[in-house]
Amino acid sequence: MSDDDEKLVESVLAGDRKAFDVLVERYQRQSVAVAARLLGNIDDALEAAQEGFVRAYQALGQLKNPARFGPWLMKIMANQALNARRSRRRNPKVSLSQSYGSDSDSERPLPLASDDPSVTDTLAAGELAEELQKAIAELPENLRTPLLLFSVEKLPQKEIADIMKCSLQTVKWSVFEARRQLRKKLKKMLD
Amino acid sequence: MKPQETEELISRYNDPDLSDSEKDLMNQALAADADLRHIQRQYQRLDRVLEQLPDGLDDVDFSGFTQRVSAATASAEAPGPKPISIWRYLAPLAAAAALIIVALPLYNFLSNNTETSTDTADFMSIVTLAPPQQLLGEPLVNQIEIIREPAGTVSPVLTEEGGVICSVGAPAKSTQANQSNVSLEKSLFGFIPDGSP
Repeated sequence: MSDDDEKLVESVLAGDRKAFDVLVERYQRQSVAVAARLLGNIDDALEAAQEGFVRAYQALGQLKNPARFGPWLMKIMANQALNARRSRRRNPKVSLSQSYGSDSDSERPLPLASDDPSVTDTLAAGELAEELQKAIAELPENLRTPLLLFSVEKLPQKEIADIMKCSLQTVKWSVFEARRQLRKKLKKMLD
Repeated sequence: MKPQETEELISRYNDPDLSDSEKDLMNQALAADADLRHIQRQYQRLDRVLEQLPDGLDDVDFSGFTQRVSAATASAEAPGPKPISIWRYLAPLAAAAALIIVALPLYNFLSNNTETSTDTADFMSIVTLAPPQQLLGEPLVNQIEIIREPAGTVSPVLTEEGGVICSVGAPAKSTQANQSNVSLEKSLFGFIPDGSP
């Protein structure tokens, strides 16, 4: 896929805008997922992800290695989401979200567990997932963000360090500490 | 290894950056401790559930999202070709120049300090002393011969007249060092060692 990404990026730089639409389709779900993990609701995540794609389009000429478009894009998305989060804190009364689905009057939070039976094929697994989501929400932000980006969205720790503007060692420690606290809280359910 | 360090290692059992030495350490710790193996199983289960956490986006209209992104990028400034950075070409030249600037004086310094140097005019002053029967006040030095010899190779030698040929001072260096040795010898013998008064 990275070879294909490279060709698509070169096409966009040569003036083919439709090549960028292909890249958007390829990475949109992951982009929105990364933003949603950081923002906690889907509508804000959609807005942040849209803005992230526009920024990526404009900055595509600065991408040194086109084969690494995916990780580069995720970094832009995470930064966009973190900026949106900071902005939300500064202006708590202003809603950043626009609704894109049928439910237009409220922000859509992330569901606590999937309805997909292949993921929660037993009641215990479903309960564990639900309790895990709650426990993650209770983690302090400096532990929750690196945990979600690393363990859930599979971003490399080095990229997470760049996004969070901290050292690699800090990310490693944060991920461990988050996992340790989750294990401690959910010890009985993990047996 | 402290318990927390061991637990950290175990929690990273599946991480891609775990080195071979760390894996060995972890396996040794696990083999020796049933409690640690239990902890590892808990971390394994935790990681599986984390990986399977739903993204909650099944109901999102992504085709609509794509259209909105497309419309937004249509009105945005198109990305230009990669800018050609002149530094890409200058940087290697600058690095080479810096290396030469640093290396050349170092090379010269090391060359000057070697005792087997020839072209920098390392030489010794060989002074032939007058026979001991000459009275004080008379020049004690009959002859001074400057030869090119490495230091320490000339031993005192008796002349036919009873004088002694020996080396005086350290091997002279070129320019400044030579001047200082010359002035020393002048102060000892009252003349410049090249034979001139």
